[in-house]
Amino acid sequence: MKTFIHITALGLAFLMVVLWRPALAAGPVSAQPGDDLVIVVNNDNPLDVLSHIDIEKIFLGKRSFWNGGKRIRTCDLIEPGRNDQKTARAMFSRRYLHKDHVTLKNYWIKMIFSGKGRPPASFRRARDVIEFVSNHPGGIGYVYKENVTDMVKTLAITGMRVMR
Amino acid sequence: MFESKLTFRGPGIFKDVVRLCVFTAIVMTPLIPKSAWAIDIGSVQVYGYIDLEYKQTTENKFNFTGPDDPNAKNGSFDQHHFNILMDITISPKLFVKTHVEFEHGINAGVGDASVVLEYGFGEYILSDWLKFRGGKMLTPWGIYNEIHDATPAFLSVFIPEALYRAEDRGGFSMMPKWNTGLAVLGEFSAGEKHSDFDYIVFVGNGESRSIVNENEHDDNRNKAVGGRFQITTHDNLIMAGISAFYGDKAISGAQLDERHFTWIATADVNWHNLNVHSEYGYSQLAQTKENAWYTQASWRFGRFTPYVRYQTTDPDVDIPSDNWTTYLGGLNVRITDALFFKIEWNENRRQRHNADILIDETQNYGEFRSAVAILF
Repeated sequence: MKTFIHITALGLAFLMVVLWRPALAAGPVSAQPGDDLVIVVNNDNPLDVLSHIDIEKIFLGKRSFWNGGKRIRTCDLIEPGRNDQKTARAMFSRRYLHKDHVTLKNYWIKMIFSGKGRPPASFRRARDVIEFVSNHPGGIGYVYKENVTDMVKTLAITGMRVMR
Repeated sequence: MFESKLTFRGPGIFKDVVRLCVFTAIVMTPLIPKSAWAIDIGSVQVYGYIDLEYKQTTENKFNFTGPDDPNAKNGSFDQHHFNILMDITISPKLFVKTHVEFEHGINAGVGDASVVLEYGFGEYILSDWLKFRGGKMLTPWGIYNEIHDATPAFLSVFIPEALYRAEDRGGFSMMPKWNTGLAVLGEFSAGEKHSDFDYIVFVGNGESRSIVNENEHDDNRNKAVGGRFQITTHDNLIMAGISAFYGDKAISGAQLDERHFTWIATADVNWHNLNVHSEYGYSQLAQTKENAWYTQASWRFGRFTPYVRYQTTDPDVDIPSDNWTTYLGGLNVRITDALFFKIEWNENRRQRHNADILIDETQNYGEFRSAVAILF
């Protein structure tokens, strides 16, 4: 009986948190770190627009295939030598995945060791990201705007949220 | 008289011809040009970790199941884990995943040292919401069983033993750590801005006697079934889940089985740098019922994450005053993204009827634990 009461109390507390927590702010999006990063895909990808939520699912390994059935291949841009908070991956993670780099690292550690998935391929230079995406029909990555070439195409992103 | 040693074996000669053909095929096969079936090294991702622990108790501790740190008061270094994981891409939809553990500085089976295949399975992805697995898997039960040895994947030195090592706390194992069989799993969303759901259901050999390799043989009459269902809010603030397992456990070679049913409820809250998670588990093996629960809270300050945990096990609900409760406080330091240091104090309170306590043994004791883990 006591156990039942404990479980019920925990369950009610959980429900209260879910139902009463404030909604995320939906105000206008001001300039945020990572705004000069663009999402690039293979030129054969028919998409021109992708939602912010799809970006999040793709780069967290929760979506594995494009609508046409091609396997999604993700890659990260990491730049050695800078403060962790300012690498392209850190900015991308904060802007699009709503995780700081430590939380993201911990997320992928759990995914790897439970056999649920593998993180994106990592490259230290934008041109390597471009080459990977252009060589893989399902490829997707991100680079700075000034690094985009005609080997890939950029996607417009809809539904961006204000970062917490 | 001359007797010929040659005999005409008649139909037996056909067998010899077949054997000769098979032998020739085996010998000649390597000489036949063929397409490469070998896996491209770029398709294989290798991960792993290694750790070193140090543990020391305030009192020596024994238990009925065998020597368990009989001289724990001396303090011991323990090269606990050296684990290698491989994630092999066969095709865009077919994968092989393996995880091998070399435990406690493996030395030919001395003491607790062992080599264990933590998991080895093939996975076919039909879609994100429908995937198939077959092989040996870590039983999907709660937050920790699938990562129970992955030191870099959790804050503390050990996972919550109240639930995940109840057999070391005067009770019995709440669930089988592994299961060999088949599983169906996947994840889906209720909509673009709604919660994410993930599920797994499995069928397998379940549990067997300790002398039987349950990854090869099922020595009870029924197959075990189980599964886990989790929901995560879209902003990852809250995750809640429930897992269950049901199967028979053989207790003798005479097909005498005990029924084992267990379930666990999970809640995990992440708010900025604060994490609070809690689990409650119940397990019934034959007529014995046990339950356990814990709550852990942590807050990340840059590279430093202090954590506290309360955990308790009731090994047999029908026996009064047999609980084992631990109060734990520790600090996790992320020295680099691949190097972690953990240090904690465990204060154990064992009630007098706990089966782990020998006559005249101290009921309460403290334990210092620390670990260094390297991730690669």
